[in-house]
Amino acid sequence: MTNSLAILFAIPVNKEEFDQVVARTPRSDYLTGMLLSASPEQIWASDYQSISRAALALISTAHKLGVAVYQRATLHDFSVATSNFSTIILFTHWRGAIVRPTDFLVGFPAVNAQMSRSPALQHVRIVVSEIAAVVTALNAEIESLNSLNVLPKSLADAGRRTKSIGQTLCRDLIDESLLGMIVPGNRVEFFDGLYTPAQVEAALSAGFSGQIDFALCNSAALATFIDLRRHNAVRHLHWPTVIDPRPQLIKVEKTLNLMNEYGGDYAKTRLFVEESE
Amino acid sequence: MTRWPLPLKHLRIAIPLIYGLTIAATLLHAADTPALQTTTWTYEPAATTSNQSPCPSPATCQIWRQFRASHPWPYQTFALQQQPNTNEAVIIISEPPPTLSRDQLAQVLRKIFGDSFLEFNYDRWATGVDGWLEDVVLRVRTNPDQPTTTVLSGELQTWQAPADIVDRLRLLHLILQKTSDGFWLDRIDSSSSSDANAVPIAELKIPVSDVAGWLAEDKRVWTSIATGSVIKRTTRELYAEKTPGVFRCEHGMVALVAPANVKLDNLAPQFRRFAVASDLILGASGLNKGGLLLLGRLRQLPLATLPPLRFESLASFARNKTQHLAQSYERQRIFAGRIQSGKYAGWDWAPILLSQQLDDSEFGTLLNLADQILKSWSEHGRVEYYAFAYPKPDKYPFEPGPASDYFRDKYLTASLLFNWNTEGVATITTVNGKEILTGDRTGALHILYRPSNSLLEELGTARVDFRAMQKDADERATHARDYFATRGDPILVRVLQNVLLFQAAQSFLTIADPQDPTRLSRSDQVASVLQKQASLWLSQINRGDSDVERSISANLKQFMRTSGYSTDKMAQVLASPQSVERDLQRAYEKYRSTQSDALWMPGYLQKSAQHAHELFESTCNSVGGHIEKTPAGNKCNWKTTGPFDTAPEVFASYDAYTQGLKKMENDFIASLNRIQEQRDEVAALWDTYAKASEIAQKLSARAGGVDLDDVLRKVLESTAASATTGSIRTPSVVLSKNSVDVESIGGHNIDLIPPRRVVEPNFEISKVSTPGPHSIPQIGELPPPRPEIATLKVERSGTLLSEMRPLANDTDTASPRFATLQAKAKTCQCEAIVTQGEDGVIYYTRNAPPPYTGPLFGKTAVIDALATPPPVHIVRFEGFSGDTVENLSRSTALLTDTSHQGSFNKALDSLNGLFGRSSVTTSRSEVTITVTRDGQAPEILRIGENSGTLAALREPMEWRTAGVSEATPQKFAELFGNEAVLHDGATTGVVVEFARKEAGSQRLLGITVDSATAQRPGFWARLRAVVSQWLRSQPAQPRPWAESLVDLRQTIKRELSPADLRFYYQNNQRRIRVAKLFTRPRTEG
Repeated sequence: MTNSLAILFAIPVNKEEFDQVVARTPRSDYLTGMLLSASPEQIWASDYQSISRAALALISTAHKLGVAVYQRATLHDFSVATSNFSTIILFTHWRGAIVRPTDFLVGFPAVNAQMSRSPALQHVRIVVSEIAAVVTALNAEIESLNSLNVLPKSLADAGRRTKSIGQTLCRDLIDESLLGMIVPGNRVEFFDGLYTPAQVEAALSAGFSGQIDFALCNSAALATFIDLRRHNAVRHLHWPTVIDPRPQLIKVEKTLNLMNEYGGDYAKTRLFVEESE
Repeated sequence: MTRWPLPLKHLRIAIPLIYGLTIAATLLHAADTPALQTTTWTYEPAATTSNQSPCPSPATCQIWRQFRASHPWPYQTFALQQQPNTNEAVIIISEPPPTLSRDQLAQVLRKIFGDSFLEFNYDRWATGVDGWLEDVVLRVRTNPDQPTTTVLSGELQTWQAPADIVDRLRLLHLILQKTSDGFWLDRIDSSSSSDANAVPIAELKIPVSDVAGWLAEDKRVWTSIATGSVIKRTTRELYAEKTPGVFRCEHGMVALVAPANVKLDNLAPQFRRFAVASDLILGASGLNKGGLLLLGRLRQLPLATLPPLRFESLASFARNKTQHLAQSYERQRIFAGRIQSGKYAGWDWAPILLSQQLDDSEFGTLLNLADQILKSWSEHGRVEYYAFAYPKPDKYPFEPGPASDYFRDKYLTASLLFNWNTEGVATITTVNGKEILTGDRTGALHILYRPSNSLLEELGTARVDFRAMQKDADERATHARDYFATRGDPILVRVLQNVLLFQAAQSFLTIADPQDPTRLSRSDQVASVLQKQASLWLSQINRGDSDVERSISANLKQFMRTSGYSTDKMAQVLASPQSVERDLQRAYEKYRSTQSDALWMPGYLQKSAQHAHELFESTCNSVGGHIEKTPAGNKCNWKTTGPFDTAPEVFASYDAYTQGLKKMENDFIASLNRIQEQRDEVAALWDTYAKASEIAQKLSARAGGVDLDDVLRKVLESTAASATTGSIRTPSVVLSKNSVDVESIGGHNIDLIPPRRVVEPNFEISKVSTPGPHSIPQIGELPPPRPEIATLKVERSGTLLSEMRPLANDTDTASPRFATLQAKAKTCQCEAIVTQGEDGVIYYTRNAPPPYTGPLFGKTAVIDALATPPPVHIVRFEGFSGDTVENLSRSTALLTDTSHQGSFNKALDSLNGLFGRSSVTTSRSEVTITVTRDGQAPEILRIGENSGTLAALREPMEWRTAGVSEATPQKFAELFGNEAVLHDGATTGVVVEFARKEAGSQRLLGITVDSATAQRPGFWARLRAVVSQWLRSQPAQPRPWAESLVDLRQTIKRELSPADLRFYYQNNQRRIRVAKLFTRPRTEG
C-alpha cells in the first residue's frame, strides 16, 4: 500500500540543504521570513534543527516502508511524482498574502498614483507618504477583507466564508492592480523557486486522480485552485492556516505506520490521526 | 458653448446581436447630421518625400503614420491617441470590415460621434504600386470631465482611455463585428515600432493523435464564452449542437460550432468571438449532422502579434468556394520587365496572379508578403520588392549565398522556381467515425524549390542528373521549411492559419447563403490587357511589320501552324505563360502524389486488413459471441438481449472502419489506373509548354522594342477601373530589383482538398462508460494524446482570483438554476443540499434559517459552508463519490470539533459514502440516516449510542476470522443489556464473536429480528448460515465495522427478508452501543 506513496520535501531537511537555501540568490522566501530576526546559525540551532529531526525521522520511516522520498523537490519532481505515484505528500512553503516592504519594485509616488486609479484600492487611505505606510495599509486591507467588495457577490461570499481564501483573493487583487510594481504573493515555493498555483496545477500529471496531502501553510488556496481546474477530481488534504511543520511531519510519519499496520488509504488514515488528537 | 455627446454608459453592458443591428439601422435612418468634408490620402512608405502626395491633415497624418509604421502589414483594430494639452483625440479604425459600405460607415460614425467630429479622413498605406490598406482616421473632441475606463490593448495590456470614446467605439465594434465581445483598443504610442509586434511565434506540431484523443473525451465540458448566459456542453453535445456557438474548455482549447447550412449573419458574431479568443487553429472536424467544428488554442499571443482571423475572409470564401487558390508573380509574361522612366524607373515590373477569391483580401495580401519573404530570403536578401521593408533576418535559409547560386554552381541551372504549397500540410483522418482535419505544423507552409534551365530538363534530356538534383532540392526545401517555420514569423503563420481555415471551410462548412456569381479576377484583367497588346504585336510580326528577326518569325508561324494555335491563343501564352506552367505544375504534383501513395498504400492496406480482422474478433468477443468460419468468410454469432446489441449497433465501429478502408482501396486502385494517364498528361503539357514557351521566350526577349512603360500604364489604367469596395486593395503588379542573375518564378499553390486517411477505431473507447475527467483515451493505432496544457504551450493566468472570477460571473447569473435547487431543497427532507454537476461546479442550498443558495468554489469550500453557522444536521450530497463525502464530513467534524457533530460526521462518513444519495439527521443520542437508492423506497438506518461516542464505528474489525453462534434470550440480555431484549422476551439471537486482540478484550455483535420473523421455522439456523457465509466472504484485511454492518444488513435482508432487523454491539468493559436498522416508508421518517 505504502509503495504507491511519494513524499516531496521542497523545504530543507538537513543542515546541508538549509545552508544551500540560505546561500541561494534570491534567497528562499520560506527562510527570508525566519531570518528577519536572527542569523542562519541561530535559526538553525533554535528552531530549524528540530524540524530537521522530525523530517529525517519521517524520511527514515518512509524508506523502511518503501515510500518514495524526493528531497530538494522541484516542480519537475512534482510532475514526475504525480505521474508515477497515486498518493503525494508535499512539504513546501506557501508565499502567502502578506505584503512586505521588499515586495515593492517602484517608489511610493508611482504606487500611490496607481492605487488611486485602481477601483480595488482607491479607497485605501495611506497616512504617510512612504512605502512602509502602504505596506501597513495593504496588510490591513488584506486582514479586513475589505477589497472583496469589488468582486462579484458569490466570490466575495466565498472569500468571507473562508478567510484564507479571502486573503488570497485580496492579495491577488492588489497584485493585479499594482502589476509591474510589486512582486506578487500567493506562490508555492519549491526547491527551485516560486510558482503560481497555475504552474503547479499544470505540472500535476494530466491523468492524476489520486490523493495529495498539501502539507503546507494556507494550502486551502492551492487546493481550491486545483479543485477548480481539475473539476474536484483530485482528493487532497489541505490546511487553511499557518502551520508548524513539526507536528505535520510527525503526524505523517504516524499515518504511514498506521497504514503499514492496518492498510487503508492515506487520506482516511491521515484524518484518523487528526481525529485521534 | 460646447455640446458633448451623451454618455453611453449602458453600452458597457453586453448587447445582444439584434440590438447591434437595430442600432446600426437606427443610426443609418436617423436624420442626417451636417456633412463633413473627407479626404483620401495615399502614403507610400517606399517613396521618397518628393514623390509623396501632400498630407491633407497636419493634425492626423503624423499620428496615423506612426500607427502604421508599427503595423505596416494587415492589421484590423481601433486605435486612439489623446492629444496632449488639448481636448482632442485621434481615432484610427484600421481596415474596417465590409459589414458596412464606405458611405454607411461614414454615416454611422457621424451619428455616433455627433458634434464632436473635427476631421474625417481615409488614409491609405501603400502595399505595392496600386495596392493599399485603408484606415478611417478621425479627429474628435473629448470631454475633459468624462471619466476614464479600463480597456484592453492589442498587446493584451490594460490601459485607461476616455470612457465616452470607449463606449462609442464599442458600439461601432458591435455594429461591424455583430458582437461587442472581443473589443480592444490600441494606444498609439510614439515608442512603438513594428519590431515590437513581430514577436516570434512558438511553433506547435499537433498530430491527429492529439486532436482525436482530446475530442474523444466525450464528457469533457466546454463552456460558452459569449457574454450573458452561460451554456455548458460536453464534447458529445458539441458534435450534436444545432446552433452556432463558441466554447472553451479548461485545457486551453476553444471550439467554434457552425452547424450545417448556417446563415453567415448568425455565424459572424460567433466567429469573431472564436477568432479573438483563440490564436492558432489546431484542427477541425465535421459535426454529426454536417457542419464545422473548428478547434483553436486559447489565445496566448497578443492580438497585435497574431491578429484574429477575419470573418470577412471566411464569409467571402464560403460564398466563392473553390478547390484551389494560387498566387504568383508572373515574370515570364510578355512585356514584363525593366521600367525606364518615372518614379518607378529602375524597378522590374511583373503582373501578380491572384485567384479571384483572394482579390482585395487580407489573405491575398499576406500571400504576396509570404512570397516576397520566401524569394527574398532564399536569395539571401538579394531580391528586393517595392513597399516591402520587411526586417531582414540575421541568417538566411541558404548560406553563404543565394539559393540560385547554390543550384547554378552545382547543376548549371539558370532558373529557379520557388513555391509555397500545401503538400503534406494538412490531412483529414477518419477516427472512430469522426473526420478530423489537422495540420502538420503551425510555422509555415511546405516549400518546393525547382531549379532548371527550363522544365524540359525534367524530361531527361538535361545535362545534369535530374533525379539527384531534384532530391537535393527537396532536401534543401525541407531544411528551408524548418528554417522558416521555426522563425515564428507572424506573416507566415497567418498564411498557414488562413489555409487551414479555408481547408476546414471547404471540407465541413455549409451555408444557407447563396454562392456569389463568378467574377473576373484582377489578374485576368491584366492578362486581358497584355493579351490584347500581344495580339497586336503578333499581327505585326506576321505581317512583317516588326523588328523581330526573320528566323523567329518563321518559327512562330510554323509552330502556330503545327500546334493549331491561333494568334489569340499564342497571345494568351505570351500574356500568361505561367497559366500553362501552372497547369503543368498541378498535373505534376498530382502525379507525384499518386506515386507517393503507391509506395506506402499497399503495406498500409495490408496492415489495416489485419487490424480489421482483429477488430472483428474483439467486437464479437465483447458481446460473448463466437466466430464461425464459413466459406463466405468469418461470421460472428451471439445472443441479442436488447436493442443495443444488434448487429448494426455492435459492429458500428467495425463497419465504419472497413467502409473507410474500402473507399481508400478503391480510390487507390482508381489512382493506379490513372497513373499512366497522369504521366501522359504531364508529358503532353510539357511538350506543349516547352514549344510554346520556347517561342514565347524568344519573342518576349524581342519585345524590348515595345514601350514597356506604356504597357504598364495601360495595365494600371485598366485595373484602376475595377473599384475596391473594402478597405484592402491587393496590387495588380509587383516591382522588384534583383541583383542575382537568375530567372526566379513561383508563388503559392494552395490545394484546399486535403488528402484523407482512415485510422483503425478503438473498440474499447465506445464501451468505457465513465472515463475519469482526465483519463486519456487510446485510439486504435494512434499513440495516446499528449497533455493539452503542455502540448499547446498554454500559459494560463496563474492566480486564484483569475480562476475564480469568470466562474463567479457565470454562477452569479445562474439564477434559473438557483430556483431549481431551492425547489429541490424544499422537498428533500433535509436542511441543505450540496450538488456537484458534471461540469464540476458545486452549489450549496440551505433551506433555513436563513436560506441560502450559491456556488461553492471547489470542494474545499464545502467544508467551510457546512461549518459556517447556522449548523445543519441533515445534508444531502449529490454527485459526489463516497470517499469525497467521507473526507468532507470528517474534515467538517474536525473543524467544528464537538462530540455530537463529530459523531454525526463519523456516522455520515462511514455510511453515507456507501450510497448514492443520503440524508442524515442527528439527535442527542441517535443518528438517523435515510438511505435512498434510485428506484427504491427510502430506508432508515438509525444508530443509537447509549454511551461514549461512535468513534468505534471506524474501528477496523477482523470479520473473516470471527465466529458465529446462537444465543438464548438470557444470554443475549447478559451480553447486550436489557435494552437489547425484545418486547416478548422470548426471542433469541445470533452472536458474532471477533477474535480477541489481547487478553480480556472481547468484542461481540448481536443480531436479532422481530418476533414474527423469528417464529419462522428454521429461521435461526438459516440466519446463522447466512451470517457465517457472509463472514467467510469478507476480505482478510480488517474493515471498519460500520461499513460492514450495512453490507451485512443488506445480505440478511436479501436472503431472509426480516420485517425488522437489529444489531447490538458490545465492546469490552460492558459499554453498550446499540445500532438499530429498520425499514420505514418515507412518510414515517
